[in-house]
Amino acid sequence: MKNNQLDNFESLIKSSLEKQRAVYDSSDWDKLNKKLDQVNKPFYSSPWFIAASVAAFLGTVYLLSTFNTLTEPTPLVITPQEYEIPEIGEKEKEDALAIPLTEEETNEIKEVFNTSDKEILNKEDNIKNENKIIESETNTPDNKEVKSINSEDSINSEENGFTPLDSDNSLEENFISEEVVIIKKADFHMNTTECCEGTKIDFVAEQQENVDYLWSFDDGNYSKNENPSHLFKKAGSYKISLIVRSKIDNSIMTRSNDQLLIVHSKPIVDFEWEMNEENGIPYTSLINLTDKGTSWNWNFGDGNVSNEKDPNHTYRNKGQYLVTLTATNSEECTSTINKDILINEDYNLLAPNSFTPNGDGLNDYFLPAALNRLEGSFTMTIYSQTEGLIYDTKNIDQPWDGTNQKAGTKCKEGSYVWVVKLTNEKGQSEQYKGAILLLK
Amino acid sequence: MKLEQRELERIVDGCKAKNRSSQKKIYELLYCKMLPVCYRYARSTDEAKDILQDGFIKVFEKIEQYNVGGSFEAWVRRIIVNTAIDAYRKNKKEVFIDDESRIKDDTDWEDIENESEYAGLSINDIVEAMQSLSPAYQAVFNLYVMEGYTHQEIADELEINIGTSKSNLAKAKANMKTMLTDKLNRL
Repeated sequence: MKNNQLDNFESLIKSSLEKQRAVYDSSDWDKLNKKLDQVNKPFYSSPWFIAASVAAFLGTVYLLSTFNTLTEPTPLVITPQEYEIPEIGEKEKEDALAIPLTEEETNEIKEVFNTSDKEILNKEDNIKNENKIIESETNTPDNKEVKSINSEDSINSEENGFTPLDSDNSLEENFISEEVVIIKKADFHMNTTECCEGTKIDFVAEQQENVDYLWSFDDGNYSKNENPSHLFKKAGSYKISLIVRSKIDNSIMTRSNDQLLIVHSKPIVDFEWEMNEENGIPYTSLINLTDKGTSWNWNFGDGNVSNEKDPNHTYRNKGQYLVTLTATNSEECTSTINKDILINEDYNLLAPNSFTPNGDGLNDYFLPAALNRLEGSFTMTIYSQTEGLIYDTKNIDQPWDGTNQKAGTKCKEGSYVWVVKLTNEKGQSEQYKGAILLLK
Repeated sequence: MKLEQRELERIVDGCKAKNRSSQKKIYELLYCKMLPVCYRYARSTDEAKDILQDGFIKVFEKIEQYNVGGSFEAWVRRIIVNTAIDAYRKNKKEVFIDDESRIKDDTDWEDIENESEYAGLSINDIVEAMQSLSPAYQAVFNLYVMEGYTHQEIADELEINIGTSKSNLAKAKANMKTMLTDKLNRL
């Protein structure tokens, strides 16, 4: 082999590359050693065996970089068990600055390596398997105990990292006794097992150190919080799963709620209204359009309430009222709706403003007109500013004739106050009052 | 490999007797130099280690042929390089480019070619540049520059003609220079 006449560039490259040294990796010898066994025993060197060993060779720990060089001592090839420094001569010892590592240094790097390798592995697995984990998780009251890993066991995470536990079998395969126990439990609590749509449920994981949490709420949502709250928007049965992963060895443990979380549907609440009038008395008809409700709670916005399905209500004063209907279904879930109703007219028993008790046959008596049309009892009292109560009646046939009942005298012109107390058709007592101008 | 010649002979004898611990000794002795050689012909660590492994198997098979007196390291290296060339031939799907007209005279380059020009570069940069060459360029460059093969020898080894070997060398160098200059500019 002659040397070619190299130009400067070629010489530069050559001299640089000639200085390259790789850090010895004893696992490479192990592989060669095995292969030499096969070469020496041709009977065993079936293509399958070779293929397997080649695969094993290729599949070994990924070596980030290859070379350790003089100028850049970046020892990246680390041997797990026995780090061996090959015998080298004096001159090369000087050259190969990067080779000699103390055992301590080696271990340190090893550690960093293992961690970063696993982290990379897990990052990928996280993405790939996140859904799988959830789907593959099974838990019923029966296998509850199998899922819970007791303190003598832990999951071998070396190969699968954050992999799903498909069945009890695979779980057991994942147990190895040598590993240090990191995760003790994946238990959790939730504040209820039954709720209505749109309820926020609080979850609490059993606290432990150096772990990551991954919750699956079974509705396509996940949380990495230790104690998340989750809003369940749709009715259904949900299997809540908690996966706990050790930050130290990446072992995982998973647990689902034994009892499914039941989320009930809510009634779909709605109403409309109509303005009606009966015998001159106005009322508002409220029309309940709720689907699947069983009980009702109306608030008419004027201080009155009702439990009827389709109530009628008479507003005393004109104005805008916020009407609220709360509907409850058989699962005790409620929905509420509010609507504004505009009332255009006051209603005060259709009472007039004035009367003229002068015996001319016109407007000689005062009685709110509505009292003639309503059934049920009433009491009407008339007050004078100066004399107080001057008249009372419980009979529509005895309207106020403008006299002071107590004194037996005719009242003077002026303004008087009337008060009507009555029991309405629903049995509720109502009170109305107004001013009446007595004119002669 | 500064080993007592007598000690080396003893180990080689052990290898001839297929003594596994002697084989291990040889492997350990030469690993840190031979893996870089493989790397120059490979495009990944796995590939380089495959070459190294196959190379050492050949070394142990052929150790009877080694003549005491010659450089043992050079002998091993030759086998390793041959293994690399075999691997290259096996994987060869690429056609060597032998269009010499496309190669420009590289005298332009000569002016800037001095070591200080590339002083900022590390060996890793050079290795990276080497690895990003196409396998054909890589093989020719290695055999010519690193192993001292003549173009005739390269042509024989790689089953190409001399012109192709020359043009591939020139292109390999031009590509490497471009890559290294880029790296320098980014420093």
